[in-house]
Amino acid sequence: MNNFSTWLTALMLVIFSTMLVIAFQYPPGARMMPFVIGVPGALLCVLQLVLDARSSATAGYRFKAAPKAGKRTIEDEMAAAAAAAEAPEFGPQTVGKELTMWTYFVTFIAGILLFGFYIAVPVMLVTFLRREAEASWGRALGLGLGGTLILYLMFGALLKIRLHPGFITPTLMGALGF
Amino acid sequence: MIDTMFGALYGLVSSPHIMGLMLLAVVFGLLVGVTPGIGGKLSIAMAIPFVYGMDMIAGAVFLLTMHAVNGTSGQISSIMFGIPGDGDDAATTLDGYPLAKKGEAARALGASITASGVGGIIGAIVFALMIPVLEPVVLQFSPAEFFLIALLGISFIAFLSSGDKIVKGLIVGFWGLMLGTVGMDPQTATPRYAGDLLFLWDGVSLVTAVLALFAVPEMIALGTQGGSIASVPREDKNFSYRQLFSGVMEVPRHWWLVVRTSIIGAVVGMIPGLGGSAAAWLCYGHAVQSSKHPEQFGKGAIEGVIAPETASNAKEGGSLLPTLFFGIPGSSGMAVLLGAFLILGIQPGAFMMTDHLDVVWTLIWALVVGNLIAVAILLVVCRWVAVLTFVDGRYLVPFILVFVAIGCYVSEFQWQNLIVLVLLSTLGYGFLRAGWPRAPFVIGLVLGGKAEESLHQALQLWGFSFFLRPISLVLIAMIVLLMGYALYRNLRPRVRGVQLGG
Repeated sequence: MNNFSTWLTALMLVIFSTMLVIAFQYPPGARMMPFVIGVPGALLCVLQLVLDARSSATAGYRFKAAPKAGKRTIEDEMAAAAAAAEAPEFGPQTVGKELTMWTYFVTFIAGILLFGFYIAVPVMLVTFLRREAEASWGRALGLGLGGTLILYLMFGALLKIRLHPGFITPTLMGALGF
Repeated sequence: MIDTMFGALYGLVSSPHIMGLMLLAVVFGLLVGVTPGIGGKLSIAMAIPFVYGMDMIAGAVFLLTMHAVNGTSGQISSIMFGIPGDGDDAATTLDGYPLAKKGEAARALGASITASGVGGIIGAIVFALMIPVLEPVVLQFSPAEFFLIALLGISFIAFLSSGDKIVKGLIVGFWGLMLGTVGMDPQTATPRYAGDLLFLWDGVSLVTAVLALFAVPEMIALGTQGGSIASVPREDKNFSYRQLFSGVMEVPRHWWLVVRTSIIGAVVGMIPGLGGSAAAWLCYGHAVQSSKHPEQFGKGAIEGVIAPETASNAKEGGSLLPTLFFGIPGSSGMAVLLGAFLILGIQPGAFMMTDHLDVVWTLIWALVVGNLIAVAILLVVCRWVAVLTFVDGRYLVPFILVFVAIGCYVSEFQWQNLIVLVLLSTLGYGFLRAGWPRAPFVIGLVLGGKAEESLHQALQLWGFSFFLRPISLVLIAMIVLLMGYALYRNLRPRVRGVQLGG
């Protein structure tokens, strides 16, 4: 049994069930669609949990027959290509790296919310390029600051789009007299 | 109709603004197609901030052109280095790479690039020919059928994108539909699942959801795994333009195969969910079966390069048909494109045929002209474009995350969407990590609003007897048969497994 997949199914069941419970508060016209979707959604989660349990129970008896050499069909190739595209290799060995990537992402979004795009973007680019891509300081700074300049020229100067300035930066700038 | 058809072409080619945008879209689409880690869906999502506020036609032409040529350049790394850009190009690798190893990379590239372009053009022609045929059918569809067709679309996508994981595909599709119910209910003006969060009253931002389900998980995965293909040796493949030209001439030499595989590709594209991989593999199989020398396939048969490339580009024209006329995206890439069309103000449905045929024809011509530009550019620069395959993925990750954050914010100018992005990304990454299909989610989210509106209209018009309308019964039968077969496939390996073990 793929434990992660089973936990994900359980999480989806909780999400569907919670949304169904919340839908009870709505008037009949408003709750119809959540029911039409939520009930089968929750039932599908239960079915998947049953399938996972069955799979787990029979795992000891089953083996996977590998395609015979020279007998690979187009369906086999298609399945292999789809599997390669859909399922990258993850496991306990990648958890640390995954958490690092998530830290970058969440910190970056938090940085945008607090300090705005024009501060968060160069900081994230330079830090990531230096630490994760192992770029030299010169290259990391060049790419990070160059990228931010292009961002400003494209959105700020050319398209006149005002990107989120952050919650702290305008106050700080005001305090500094800008 | 003839006036509209040629009027649209004239409007397209006589506008320097649109032609300039198309050129930009082709260049961007080709670069993105050959760069590892950036797929068609992601490139459209990234481009949305640039088309925001743009004229409807110009924006739609830009995005469609970029999407259409995206797959054209992915074949370069398949042929030259044996590294498929995505699932669509995997079939091309089977014969393209052996040709390259024999020193005929330029011939294979000439044939595949030309075949892609011709396939894209024939796909657009097939789409155009289907308009008068489909018009009476589309106009027969009532809200009852649109509701059922939305369910059928999700079932198709779930089945075809997940194979024997159909239940997981359906869960993801229903989750997309469920998320589509967030926001103000159009019937009772009740804010569902939104509470006092005003930014959610208009529903979950489609752009944010797409970026969260596709772009962020892909980037986290790419950052985790790093740039793995940089270690592939860059061999000299005796590239020459004479050889490239001989490859180009292989396409007219195999014109009948090109026509057949283009039509198959376009038809496959019309079936929601089948997508480019299926079209490419089906046509590769067809080329093998119809060849007088099937034993040469896998060892460097030029037909093995032409057939999948023709099909995977021809399917773009086909998949535009359900997307524009039924509001059902032919693939997950088309689902993102459909979301972008909605943002631009293009409302898919039957009235695209009655009131906005000029827009439809402009998009058809955009496919044709875009493919011609792409072929012309690629034939000249394909050798140098290939080096982009070796860009280290770790260099791309932060830049794409920046684009993702900008796209998410600019789509509605709501900072709260950035928080929604993080929340939905965790689920999207969960789906990716567990190997669940993610395409059904986009289809569900895109179709959710239309499905609900159609359901309410059908109930008001016919009550629950709308299920008994003839076309409804056909659609219900298709859903039931599909589900029955899918569940049978879902359970069958386990039954066999027990027997084998027992």
